[in-house]
Amino acid sequence: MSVPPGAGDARLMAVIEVTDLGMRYGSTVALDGVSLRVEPGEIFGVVGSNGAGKTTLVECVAGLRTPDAGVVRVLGLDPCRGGRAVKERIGVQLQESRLPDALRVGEALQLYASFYDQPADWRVLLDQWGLTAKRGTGFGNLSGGQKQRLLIALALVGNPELALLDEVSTGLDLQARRSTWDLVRSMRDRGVTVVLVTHHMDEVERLCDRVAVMRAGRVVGVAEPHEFVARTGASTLDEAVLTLGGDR
Amino acid sequence: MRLTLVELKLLLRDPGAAFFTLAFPLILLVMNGAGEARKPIPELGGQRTIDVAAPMLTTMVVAILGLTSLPVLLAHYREIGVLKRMATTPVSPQRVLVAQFAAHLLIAVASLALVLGVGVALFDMAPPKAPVSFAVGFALGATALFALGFVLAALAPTARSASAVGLGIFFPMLYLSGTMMPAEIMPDALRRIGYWTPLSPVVRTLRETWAGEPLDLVRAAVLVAVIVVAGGTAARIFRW
Repeated sequence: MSVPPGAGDARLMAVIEVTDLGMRYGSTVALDGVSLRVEPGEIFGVVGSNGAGKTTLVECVAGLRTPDAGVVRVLGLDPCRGGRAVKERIGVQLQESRLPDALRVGEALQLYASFYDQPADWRVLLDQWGLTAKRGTGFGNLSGGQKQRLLIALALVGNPELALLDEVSTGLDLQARRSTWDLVRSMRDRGVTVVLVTHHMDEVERLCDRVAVMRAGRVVGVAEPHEFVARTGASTLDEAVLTLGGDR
Repeated sequence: MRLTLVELKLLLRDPGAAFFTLAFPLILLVMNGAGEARKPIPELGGQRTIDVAAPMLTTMVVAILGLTSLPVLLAHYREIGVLKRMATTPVSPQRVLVAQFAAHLLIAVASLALVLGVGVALFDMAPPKAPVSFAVGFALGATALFALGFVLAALAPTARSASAVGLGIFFPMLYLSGTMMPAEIMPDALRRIGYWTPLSPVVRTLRETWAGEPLDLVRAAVLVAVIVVAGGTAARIFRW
């Protein structure tokens, strides 16, 4: 990756390009004409109330769901049809995903490393994410913060160019959230493009270069966090997002 | 390969699974062996209890693995998102199913080896008289019951429901099919019902081949049919 962080050169291929994405589950519309571009090297936030379509969007980008309408390109490829070629290059932390309780930290990293052609050194990840002392501990005996750190480390074990992180800091105490933020920044500094789905506006303000606000399956705005505050005349990002993305 | 090894380790770390598939058959064997297992029984055509112990215990273990362990584990994996998480990696979650199948099969083989080893050493047990036919019957029987386990895993929304349904099928079938006690000494009515359970062709095939009879082709065909129908159904309806 020769792209400097935050580069927005229009000639460069977008890491994610989503055009007119539509998705329904029965009579429920999960996504309705969603279009957005995520540029190389940025931390891109996705916010919105529950049911706004954030997780469905992530699952379409990760190639877990085939959308009913529209086009998804990830690193120039179709994630649903691209097979291994795409999955080698993206790392995903799914919302509410866990590991078997008896699976040990070192085993999990080693196992997931074996899934990729050119994995990161899992011992280095163990160290970076402060899990070396917990190497022999089963997932079920880790604290909430340790579990979350392991799951993020697993998302990075394939040396991805794009990391999709769905609610990584949910359930963490303040200290654990802060250290997660530092680690997300260090990912970006190493050239990884990050998509961060979150409910925490402080997280968006501190981490995200740009953020998309979703409401009822649509993207109602994409901008830098401070722009939203200015645009809506709100005093905080929380209020701005509530104004834009609230159900009321 | 690594995935199979990891799944095998996880199985062995589960005290319930390890106990019921490895220790429990040995306990039953020793309890029987310490009794009158070496006296010929007229109802068994002059066979001794120890002569039918290994194929019956092996059938029990394969049924435990296929109807209780496999579906509960896979339903649990789906519940906690392990399968979906794997679908985001270059490796297909189907590999988890293959690895689970292999790990469960290895446990069944290990359990049989333990029973045979202890039986031969302590209780005058004889190894199978038609070993190749026995191996074929074992492979067919295990695959058929594991395929039924995959169907349960595909149908069950949660690990809890998979466990309830699995045990609900497992216990009556275990007794009716002649796996816990030889069918020959069971009341006629129960024996006739048990004949139609999927466990019956497994225990009969294993007993017959252990005693040196050739593989019964009708029973083998029934097991192949179970494998094809259950395997095909599971492949069609299984969701990550």
